[in-house]
Formats: sequence, C-alpha cells, structure tokens
Amino acid sequence: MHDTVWFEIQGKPSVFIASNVFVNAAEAQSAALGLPEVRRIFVPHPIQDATDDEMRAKADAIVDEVIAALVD
Amino acid sequence: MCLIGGPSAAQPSETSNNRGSGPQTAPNPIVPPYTSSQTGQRCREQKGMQRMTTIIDPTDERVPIRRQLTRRPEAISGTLALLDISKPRGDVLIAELEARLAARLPEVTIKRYKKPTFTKPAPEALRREIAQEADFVVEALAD
Repeated sequence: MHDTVWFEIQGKPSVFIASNVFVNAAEAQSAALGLPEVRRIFVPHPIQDATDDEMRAKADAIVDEVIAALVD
Repeated sequence: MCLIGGPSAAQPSETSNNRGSGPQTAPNPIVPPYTSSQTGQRCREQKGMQRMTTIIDPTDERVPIRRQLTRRPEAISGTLALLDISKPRGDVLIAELEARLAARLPEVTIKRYKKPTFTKPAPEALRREIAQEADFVVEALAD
C-alpha cells in the first residue's frame, strides 16, 4: 500500500492486488495514508496453499479489473 | 482510561519522564515514561496513599495529508511495471497476469520488478527506478 500510494504521488496510475482478507486493512491503511480512493483489487483467499492452476485462475479473473483501475 | 497502580506501582510524579531520577520504589511495567497525552490532560486516580498512574492514548494523533488519485488516461500506453512484493505464490499470479496483459496490450512494454521483502516499503532506489522507467504500476500480491 505504501508503495502504491507513493507511485500515485509521483503521478503514476497504480493499483495493488491483495487477497480478500485485506479488505478492511486496506481501507484503514489507505485512509491513514491520505488516499482512501487508492485503487485495489482483491482475489479470493487462500494464496499460499493454492495450486498453480488456482493462482492462474485468480489472475485471469482480474485482468479486466487491472486495466480498468489504471485508466479513466 | 485510568488505571490505579498496584503495590509495585511507581510513586506519583508530575512529569512522568523522570524515570530513574525520582523516589520510585520499583519499575512499573504498565507505565512507560510517556510525557504527553492526546488532550494534554492527565488521568489521575488516587486511592488510599498518594498513587497516580498516567496512561496515554497510543494512537496516532496526526491527520494525514489528503492526497488526490493521479489522473488516469483513457488508455494504457508506454511501460507498465509489475511489482512483486515477494510474498510466496505471488510470482505465479504475476506471471499469469503478465502474459494476459501482454496479450491484451501488445503495444505496452511490461517490466517486472521485485522488492526484497514484503515487510517493508520498496527501497528508495527501486521506487525511483520504477518511477523513472514505468508509466503505470501494478503491485501484487499481498495475502
């Protein structure tokens, strides 16, 4: 989150991706950093014990969201 | 919130940052030597003998600077950075994302970066490198 906000400050459209256990934490931290609108995308938990196929499916599901987060 | 010191609590002190210099009888593990509170008002409880404990609100008092989201263009162009935060399995998702984005945005250069640890913000040199080389940033994957 800190990095993403920093890049926004530098004028670089940015987005971060996290698992959905971070929804509340992201909301709190983005507000604390002064940028509650920071773009974020959440993928279903879990991550670390997911298979490669499951991880690829999570990526496939958010491609459109990633592009949309970086454009107007 | 107020707490009354127990039998081993420190003696009362007007300034709580004089640990070691006053007539304290024993260290009080719940009374760090904080010097001010959010409101500036000390919380005092007295019971029996003169005892006072000062408890300070530890939450951040600062109001963050309100920032604006960077204006987005209508389309992605130039270079897009994929920043891996070094969490296990994140690289699999990022690799797939890289392939999918490359197929969708063939005119865009996609560059991968990786910060040394997810526990801290990226090193300043890496941030500067990305900011210099990329027009867009995607950071992943926190779990």
